[in-house]
Amino acid sequence: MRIVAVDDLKPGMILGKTILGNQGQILLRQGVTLTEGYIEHLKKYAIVAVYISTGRGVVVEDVISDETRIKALQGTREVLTQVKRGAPLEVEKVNQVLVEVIDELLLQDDIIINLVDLRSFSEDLFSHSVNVSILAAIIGIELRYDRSQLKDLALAALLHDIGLLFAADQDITDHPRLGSDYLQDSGRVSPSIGETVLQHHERWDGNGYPRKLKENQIHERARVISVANVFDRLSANNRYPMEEVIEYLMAKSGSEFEPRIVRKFLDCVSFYPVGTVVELNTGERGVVVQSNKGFPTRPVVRIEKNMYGEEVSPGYNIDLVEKMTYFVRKKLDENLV
Amino acid sequence: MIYRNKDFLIDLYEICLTSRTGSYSIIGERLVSELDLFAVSVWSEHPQVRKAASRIVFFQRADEPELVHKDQEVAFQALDQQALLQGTYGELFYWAKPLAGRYTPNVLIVWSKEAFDNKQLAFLAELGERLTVLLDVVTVTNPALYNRIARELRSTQFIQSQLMPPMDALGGKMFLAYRTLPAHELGGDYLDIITHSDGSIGLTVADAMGKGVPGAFVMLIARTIFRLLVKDAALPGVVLRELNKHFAAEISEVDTFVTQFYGIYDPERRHLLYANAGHHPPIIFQRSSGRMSILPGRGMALGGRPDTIYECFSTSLEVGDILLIFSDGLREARDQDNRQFGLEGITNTLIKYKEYSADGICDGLVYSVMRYSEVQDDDISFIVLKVE
Repeated sequence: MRIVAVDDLKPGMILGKTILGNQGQILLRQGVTLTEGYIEHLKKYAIVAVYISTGRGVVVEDVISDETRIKALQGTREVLTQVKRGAPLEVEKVNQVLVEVIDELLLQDDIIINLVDLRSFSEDLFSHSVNVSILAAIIGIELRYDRSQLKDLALAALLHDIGLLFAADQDITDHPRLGSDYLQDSGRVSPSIGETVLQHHERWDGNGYPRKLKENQIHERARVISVANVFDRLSANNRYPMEEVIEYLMAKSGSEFEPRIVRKFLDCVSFYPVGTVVELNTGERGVVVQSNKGFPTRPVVRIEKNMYGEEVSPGYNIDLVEKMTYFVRKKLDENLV
Repeated sequence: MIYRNKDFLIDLYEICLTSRTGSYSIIGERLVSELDLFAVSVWSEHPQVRKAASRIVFFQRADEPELVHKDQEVAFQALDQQALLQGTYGELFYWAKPLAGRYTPNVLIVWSKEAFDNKQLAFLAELGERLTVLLDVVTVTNPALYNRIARELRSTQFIQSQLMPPMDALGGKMFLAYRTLPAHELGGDYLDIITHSDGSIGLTVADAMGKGVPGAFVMLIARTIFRLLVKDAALPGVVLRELNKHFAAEISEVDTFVTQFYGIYDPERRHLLYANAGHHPPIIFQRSSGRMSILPGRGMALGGRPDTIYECFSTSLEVGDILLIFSDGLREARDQDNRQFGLEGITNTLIKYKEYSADGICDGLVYSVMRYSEVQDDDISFIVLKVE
């Protein structure tokens, strides 16, 4: 699979991953052969890029099932839309969805984020909220939170941008305060959730907003959400390639983010996500077929060209964690194998 | 397994000699059909990377998806042990033999549905010998190795690869990692990691003037003397002083020099004792302050005056600090506009990868420098230590 910008799509390409709308509706199913009509359809929905199958048999798995993601998106949309209309916050509905998300995450041995969230650019608040909630829960699992801590974390993450519903367009720096005020007034979530929402733009070094809190003055949940929030903003729609997003998080570790939380998160993000084409120090070339948890730069590579540049078929796998004399020499363009 | 006619090997010679491409695949196909085997593969050891092998021949009669993995496992095992291996896998019998070719150590693996009897084993042994010669011929007709010099270089690559520390011999020291990226067939960089009996670790990176064959030659002289002088208790300054004295005498008629950094790191006390013979000073990233600095105290390069004195310096490190010892090739890598990667490129990269392990930081440096500079024209070597 590879990511292709919608503007570069051509009829005949095969969709590698089901495309969900921001409200959880299925726009196009995995395996569909694209037509002019479908491509127009995608443009209408302001989808930026999609996964296209390359026929290499490489499968990129999402951290949760499409089914659960759809439920989460639908639930979030319903609840937030009601809030915007002035109706009370239906916390039970949200909680139900979050329990499913957390259960699904907890069932997995090693969670590694390989899939870039490709979604519609219009009204992406729902997708963003769901994604930050999932990412925060993943970090929470790494931090060994128990189930109830995870639920609070995921809930605060899901609601972190609720203030945007009330923010005037010109100044969105107000949204943590607006969101927190709304939650505290609603009386439907514990005060600490509102406090977390208020703090999600604070920075580890004290240069954030609104209160310039620093280090342990910031609630740990807010420290987690700030990493998840920035990761999603930078990586969604393939805005920046994974390695640049990782570089950003590390460069800002100690200033914007708490280093410990960045480290935990980095264990779950692959520097060379599944599907990346690489050249090894042996001159062999191949495609990443699996990530190794805790070894972000040492994936399993299926060799497609040997050291003489001759094609090998069927390809053989080199697991860079097992074979430490190997390393990735460079990342190649998709078509360079 | 049957064999009808040993002469098919002669045919194979002819085909391989006349065909410039695809010789390897012909070998596999022919062996399988002539000997009525299930599958055949040949793996070739990598000339520069230790414990690495690339598959150059593979042919199977029918698609057996799991065989490719088992075949690879057997190949690495045979190369590792340098021993003949026999066994079974499911319904298949295999026979694997390392072939000591002149230019390439290979492994031949044959897979059969039937067990091998003594006569067949004797034939396979003979086949192995003949195939060794054939593979040498094919290797030599490979356009990349068409002349004598290229062939000799290839043999020399194997020797040089043995002079580098095996990466998996860091003994599980997760705080240490290194990379070597030669620009040409042979490198002029020398990098070594030596574990002393008191648990301290000697770390050295040296860079010879010139690269390719001349660089490699000069490097070998310096390395040999260095290895003889390095003893547990020997202070870095004393080692470099003695090294310079002997090295200068050896190369007095040649205009060349070597720069070398040698440090002894004590992981218990997190303390580094070092001396520097004209090498670019290593970089230290201090975790607590987030600041970069270089290790002061740079003496004369090796190969100048035989009586040069090298001072010993020391520094204390803290958990999370990163030490990078590197050869000039890293700093001097150039982009399309001929601008150097420079100290700025290196320090920016360290900041970007500081949360990774030593091994991950190495990969980050390789990634950044290869992205910066499309064409690599100097050897790049470096050691990363991330204090635990």
